[in-house]
Amino acid sequence: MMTLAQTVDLQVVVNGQRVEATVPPRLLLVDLLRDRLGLTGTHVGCDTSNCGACTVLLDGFAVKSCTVLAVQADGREVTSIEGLAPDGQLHPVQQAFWDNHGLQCGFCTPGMIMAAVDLVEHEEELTDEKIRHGIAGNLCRCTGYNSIVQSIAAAAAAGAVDGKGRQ
Amino acid sequence: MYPGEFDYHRPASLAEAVSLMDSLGSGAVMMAGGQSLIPLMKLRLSNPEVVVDISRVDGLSQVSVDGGRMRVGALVRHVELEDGRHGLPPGADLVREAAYGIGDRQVRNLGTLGGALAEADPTGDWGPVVLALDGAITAIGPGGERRIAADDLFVGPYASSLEHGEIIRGIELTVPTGAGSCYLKLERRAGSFAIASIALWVVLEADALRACGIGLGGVGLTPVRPAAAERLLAGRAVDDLPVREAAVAIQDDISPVDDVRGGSDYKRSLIEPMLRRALDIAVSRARSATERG
Repeated sequence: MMTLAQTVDLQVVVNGQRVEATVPPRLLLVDLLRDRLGLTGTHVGCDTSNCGACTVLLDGFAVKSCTVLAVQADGREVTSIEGLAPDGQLHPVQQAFWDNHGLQCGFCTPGMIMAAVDLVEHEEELTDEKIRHGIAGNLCRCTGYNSIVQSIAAAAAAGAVDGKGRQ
Repeated sequence: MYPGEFDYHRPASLAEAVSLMDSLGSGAVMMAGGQSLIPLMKLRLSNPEVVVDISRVDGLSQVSVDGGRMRVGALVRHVELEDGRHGLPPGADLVREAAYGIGDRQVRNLGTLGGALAEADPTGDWGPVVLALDGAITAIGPGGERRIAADDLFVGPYASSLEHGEIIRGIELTVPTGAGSCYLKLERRAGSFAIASIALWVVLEADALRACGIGLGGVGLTPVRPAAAERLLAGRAVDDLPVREAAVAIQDDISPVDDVRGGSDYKRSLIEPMLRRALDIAVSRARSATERG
């Protein structure tokens, strides 16, 4: 029988910390992060899986958290932009964006950086073409793509990072 | 935006998933990566009472390659086929290239081959590939397991011959020995669904095209395998292929609709140039394969 009041208990490791929550199945991952955990670095742009502003890492791979149910992250590891610099020291990809003017207004930046971390960690020989293909799901309304691509290339050149998004 | 309310189950085994889908009835939908279903649910175009999340069902995530034969578990994600991380048969460029053009990296990180085939989107990228390669799926339901040839899988827009509650277990594809292949998609912007797409492989013998397989997307109510065109091209000299004749024959097999991606006449006019371009690429790849031995 259907019970509209169904909730699900879940455990997620968010930015290295174990989080337990009781949520309705329809709660989106982005809403778990922003509304329940206060991690508002993950932005909601289009809310339709187009713009990529909500990109986070799920077990190390970039996903659009507006198109993932929180329950899908149960038992898994989520890394949001806040998890990249836990001690205040910029992650190499963040540093590369800083050094190469990889942001203008900054709205797309958290998603862009999380997408970039997935690329830098998992793709070998990150050519410009691979970078552009890899961030095709992230829109920058300032259209600052060239600097973004340069930032990601610089991060890749600066060295590999580990599977948790930290060097 | 958020989906309507629903109940959620996450079976760990295939048997449990089959039994759940059977007992829950028609209000239940299966979700693998959720990359098509969740957007539809957020738009309230899909309002299931129950979501059965099969993404952690055991044993559906393997890829095995044996010569030209490839078995892909239903839960293998597009990104795994795009970068060929489990290996691909020789000549399987069409598999890699179809995966490459799906959605965007975030979608490919979650979306699965089985999910995409079950959705049966007529503009999807995998339909043409499994048709061209004469593939088959194995599906398991309350009545047991059965094999469905790709030719029998797609029955209408977003409609497959899978029964309610039947779960795709795996996909079998065979790339013929010595094949050269490609997948081309004309799209409005990177990662969009196809205006029109073509999956094609050829096998050469001396200066002739010995055999070929073609799958088309975006130009009908289902993906289309134009068998008449395949027969027209087979046995003909590679440097003098009857491309126009084949493209004319394809017109009888397709039924493109006017939509936001283009008019039906425009889509029909794409067949010849896309077939020509795909043949050029596949023939050139088959030649390189022959030279490499």
